[in-house]
Parts: sequence; C-alpha cells; structure tokens
Amino acid sequence: MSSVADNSQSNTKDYIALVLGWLVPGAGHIMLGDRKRGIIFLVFIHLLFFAGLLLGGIRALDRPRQQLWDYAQMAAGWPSLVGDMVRPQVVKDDVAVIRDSSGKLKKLHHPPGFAPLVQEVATTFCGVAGMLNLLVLIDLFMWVATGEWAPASPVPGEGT
Amino acid sequence: MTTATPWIPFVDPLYAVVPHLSHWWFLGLFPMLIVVAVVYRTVRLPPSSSVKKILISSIWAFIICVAVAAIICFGCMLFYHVASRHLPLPLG
Repeated sequence: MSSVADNSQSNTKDYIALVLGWLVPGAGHIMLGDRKRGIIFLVFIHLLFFAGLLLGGIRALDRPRQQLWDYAQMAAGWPSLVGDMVRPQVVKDDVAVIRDSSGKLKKLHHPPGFAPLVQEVATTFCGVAGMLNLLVLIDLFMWVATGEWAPASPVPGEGT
Repeated sequence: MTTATPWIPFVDPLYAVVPHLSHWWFLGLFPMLIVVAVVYRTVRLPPSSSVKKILISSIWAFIICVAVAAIICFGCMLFYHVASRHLPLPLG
C-alpha cells in the first residue's frame, strides 16, 4: 500500500517536473536529480534566448507577423511568456499597415527603422532556444515514461 | 522632431546603439552553433558523464556543424557561379 502511495507521489513529481521543465528550461532535470545536466540546460538555453533579446530587443518576439517563430519561442517557457506580455506595453510604433505617399494602404512586413538581418538573427536565437528546450523536454519525457534516461549516443573519438 | 531616449537593454535592439551591426550578422551564427552543440551533446550523453566529456563532445559536434555548413555554403557558391554562366536561370 505504501508502494502505491509512493508510486503516485513519484508520478506527480514527474509530471510537475515536465511542466517545470517547459516553464524554466533545465529545472525539470534538476528536480529529478540530474543537477549537472539541468544546470547546463538552464544556463545555455537562457543565454541564447537573452542574447536574442539583446540583439533584437523585444521585437525579436514578433507574434503578429512571425507566428511560426512565436510557437518555437513559446517552447522556451517563461522568457517568452513574459516577453509577449511586456511587448505590447513597450512597442508602440508597430505599424502593420501604412499609407504610402499616394494614399494607398500598404502592408509593412517590418516597422520603420528595422535592420532585417540582425533582427532575423535575434528572432532565430529566441526560436532556436525554444526548440532546444523542446529537445530537453523530450529527454525528460523519456525519463518520466520509461524510468530511464534516453540511450546515449557514441562520442566521436571513443572506441565502440 | 524626435527626442533622444535612453537605450534599454533587452527592450531596445542593439543595432540602435551599434549602427553597422547588420554587416556582422553572419558572426551571430557561431554562438548559436556552440549552444546547439552543447545542449545537443548534453542531452545525448548519459547523466553520469563528466563535464570534461560533455565539453569535448560538444567541441566535436561544433566542428562537425561548422564543417558541414562550410561545405554547403561552398556548394551553394559554386552552383551560383556555374549556373549564372551556363544556365538560363534568373539569378540576377
């Protein structure tokens, strides 16, 4: 009976770790005892996401015009959620449709003053951080589903 | 008339204070590749691996990624130069 209670408690902990692993990249692994890898995921995924925010500003999260990238960025958890909440308060000069000199309506892909190349790099940074967190979540899910971490792959330079 | 506002990190873009940053956009790919290599190798190695093993494995992965990217870019460049001379393609 106590083993059934223990099982349900460990299941609850696993599911909480899954949710936490999405919300804070790396926190799921730390919660399940794999602190070393959890800290590596925490540091590097956050580094990449915030490097993207530093390069492109809050406009690196561009939900209205880049929805696919937004879905990827959402996988990074709290930075994307907070950024999407902050963005409408801060960015006031986003003009999706403008009138050109002849008075015709024109759809603008980027607001005025954009630097497309670096801005695209910034969006990519944030999106790739989200996709990396997805990879980490898959690893976490393998542990929750099977009780074992995903099988290791061979390292170049090591014997078979 | 515009008024100057202070630059706020993570809100305002970096190219607002570094005007020619777009010229160096290509360099941004290297930090991204490093992070991808580190996270990917860390996921694929068992939890008992040492930090040194993760680091060496990540460096290998990064080198392979850069080599593959260089081969693909070289191939694209060759294709562009050959195709623009010999094929009736609208390559500008």
